[in-house]
Amino acid sequence: MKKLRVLAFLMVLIPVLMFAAGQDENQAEDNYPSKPITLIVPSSAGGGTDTMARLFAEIAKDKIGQNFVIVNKSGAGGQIGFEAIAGSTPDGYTIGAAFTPHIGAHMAAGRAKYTLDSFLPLANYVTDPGVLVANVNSSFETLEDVIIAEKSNPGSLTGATTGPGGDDSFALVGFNNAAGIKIKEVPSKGSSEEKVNILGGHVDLAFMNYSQIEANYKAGDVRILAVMTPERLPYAQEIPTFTELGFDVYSDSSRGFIAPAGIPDAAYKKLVQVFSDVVEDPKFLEAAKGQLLLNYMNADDYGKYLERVKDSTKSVFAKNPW
Amino acid sequence: MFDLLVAGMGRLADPFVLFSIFSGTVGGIIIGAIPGLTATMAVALLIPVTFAMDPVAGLALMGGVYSGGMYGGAISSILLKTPGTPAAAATAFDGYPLTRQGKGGVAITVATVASFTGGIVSTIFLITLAPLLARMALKFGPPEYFLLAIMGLASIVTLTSGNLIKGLLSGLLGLIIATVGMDPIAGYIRFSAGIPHLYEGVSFMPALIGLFSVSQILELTAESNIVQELSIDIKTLKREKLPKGLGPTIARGSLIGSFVGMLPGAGATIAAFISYNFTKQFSRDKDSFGKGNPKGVAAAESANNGVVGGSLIPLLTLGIPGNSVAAALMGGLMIKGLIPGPELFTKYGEITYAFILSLLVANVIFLILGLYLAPLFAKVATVSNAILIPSIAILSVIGSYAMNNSMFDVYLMLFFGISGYFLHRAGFSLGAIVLGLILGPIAEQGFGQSLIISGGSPVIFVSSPISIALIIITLVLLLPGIIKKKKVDSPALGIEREVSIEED
Repeated sequence: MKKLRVLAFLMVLIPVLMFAAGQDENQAEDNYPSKPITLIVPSSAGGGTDTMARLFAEIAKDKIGQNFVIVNKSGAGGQIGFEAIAGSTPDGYTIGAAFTPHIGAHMAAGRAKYTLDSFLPLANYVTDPGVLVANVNSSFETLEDVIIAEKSNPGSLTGATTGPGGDDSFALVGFNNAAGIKIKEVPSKGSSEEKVNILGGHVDLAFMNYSQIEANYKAGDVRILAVMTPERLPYAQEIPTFTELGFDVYSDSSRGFIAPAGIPDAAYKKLVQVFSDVVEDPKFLEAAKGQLLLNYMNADDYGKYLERVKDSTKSVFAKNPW
Repeated sequence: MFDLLVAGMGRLADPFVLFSIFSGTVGGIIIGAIPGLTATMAVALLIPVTFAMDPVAGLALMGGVYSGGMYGGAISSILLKTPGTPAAAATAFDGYPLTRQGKGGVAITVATVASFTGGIVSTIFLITLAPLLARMALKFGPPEYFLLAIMGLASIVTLTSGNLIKGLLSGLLGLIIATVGMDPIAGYIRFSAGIPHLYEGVSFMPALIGLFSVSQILELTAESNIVQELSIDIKTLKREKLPKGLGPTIARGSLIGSFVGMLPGAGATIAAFISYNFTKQFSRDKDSFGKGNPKGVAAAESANNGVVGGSLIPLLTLGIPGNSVAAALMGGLMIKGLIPGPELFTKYGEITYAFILSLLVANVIFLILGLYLAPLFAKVATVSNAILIPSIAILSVIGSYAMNNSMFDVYLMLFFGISGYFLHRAGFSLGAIVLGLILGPIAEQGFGQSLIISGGSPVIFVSSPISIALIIITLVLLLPGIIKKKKVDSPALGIEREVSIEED
């Protein structure tokens, strides 16, 4: 009798447990995310990547039903943050932001503890094209003027960049090589100092990103001699490209989102969907206007783009190590 | 411009806007007082929150955080020698000794009035002369920044009130520590021992917290209270008047703060040190500095709050943020479609002026709160060390961790704390180490850039009127200190050498 009761109890209990277990598993699949998602930003609060991530988080929380917790892990040009993303538990509850060319540059320099295989691309949001800037009071009106001035007096021109290992520095080297000239690099601390140096006339040229100088360009303080994209910019049609002027100089800095490799398939699909939904949300577009140069790439395209960045930083490092 | 100013004022009359300023300022004071939580972080956190708000209310909220945060740093610096913000480091030199003497309430009152004046003066510059001053600030190029850093380093002579050689060695130690990390010119990574956390150099905030507050709590373990003269009744402090003769100090500090704040490469910390240096050199009673002279507090606080308005000059006119808070604030402006430039003062003038005027309101709010609450704040220092020491220790750990969310920074803070304790005991100047740490990178970058531009010729350092003026000011500040130090070091006055350095 007693045995029977135990048996009956077990007969009831086992399916209940099994059901509960199954439920649990289903929950992990269907109810993702069941807790807030950590978003690692590999730069400090208040910067461009941080702003993008915070705007995304604000809009995305209603779409995915959970909050995104932004964790800033800055330092070593993003390397510390990239390594933290690569090393996080791949359960779908930790993702991160990425920016180029730095994510590739650390690999090229052989310092990074990650490879591109450590990540799954989610989406690219922003592409900020490289531009060549001259002060409006200078004699440089076209790229031709710069090259003539440099060739008639080699080593006389200076160009501000944000320092070795960054896209501005790559752009300067690229232009020097393509035109056979030698503009001297003046590494500045961040784009603010670059702006001071070009607006104050302390350097002849500045290699920057379009969004950093847009306000001054529109106010007529600087000239943009050329842009480093294959095609002209839709929002600034009047600026010629380096390519159409005969120089193969391409450079940009982009910002997107990545996840650690190995996250559950369902979580990955859901995240990819959220990233594509947010970028179409009118509220997001409104907030992004004027400060994020949106250039959405889906996960596949972003993955291919990151591969290209990896290869190009590698070849720059081989020729001009920093 | 006048009608836009009036229109801007009208926008502020909205109760919701006033409430935004109030909550921003109060939140800013709290964030500023807690080491490691910075106004930069707070503004960045607020960006997504404010974008759904009315632009004036959103910007006023952020402006309140900026003003309140800069002021709040002084409170913990004065009472606990734990600067809530790096800019308040110089405030501790005289503020903390005042607290030890039981005059913490007076020190906070002085800091409040000085911060208020600095904030108001710089905001008036911003309203009246912004475009002109911004063009002037652009004249500062690499050689000028190098010389400005040298001028700041000259303060080491001022900060050291005992053995000059030890003071200079301390500064040198700071400069050497500042060479850790990526070479700003060649990109070579120096002395990092392969640790990525050191690639960008030794993080400043953990080093500051370690040197100042941790070394201090190690010393406090031998005592029962921070306030040495407990017999003083704290309640009488309420009636204590503001010390006289602070006017010129505060006026000078406000001007220095507004001016240095305008220079995008400098910042509030440097402004406070330079102002402190000037005040001490122009004072007849130099020896009382570092031992609780209210002028020291007034000099540092008027300058670092002067930076608030100053830093908005290049930000609003040229889109060049003068420091990290201003950079975060720029994100907040652009989200509202307010692109820095001339249009900000014409087409969007109403919002811009409302924002600028809201800074004035924020200053009035912290003036009232600070004056009213100073005696209450001062009571913190009368709490038993058995409670205070663990509390400061916890704040120190949180503050170090919070900057980069990094445990490495906590270890760094402990390392600096223990080293700082022994260095202080041995008579080295911790203030001079901090100064070397702040100014080293600025000097190095300016020096390297200048020589690239000039093609290696040092003539570039004397080729502009600003450079020459900076050199002359540096020499004027330096000479009296050196002459006096010689006297102190002479055998006849050997006893004075026993006097310990700076703070207490």
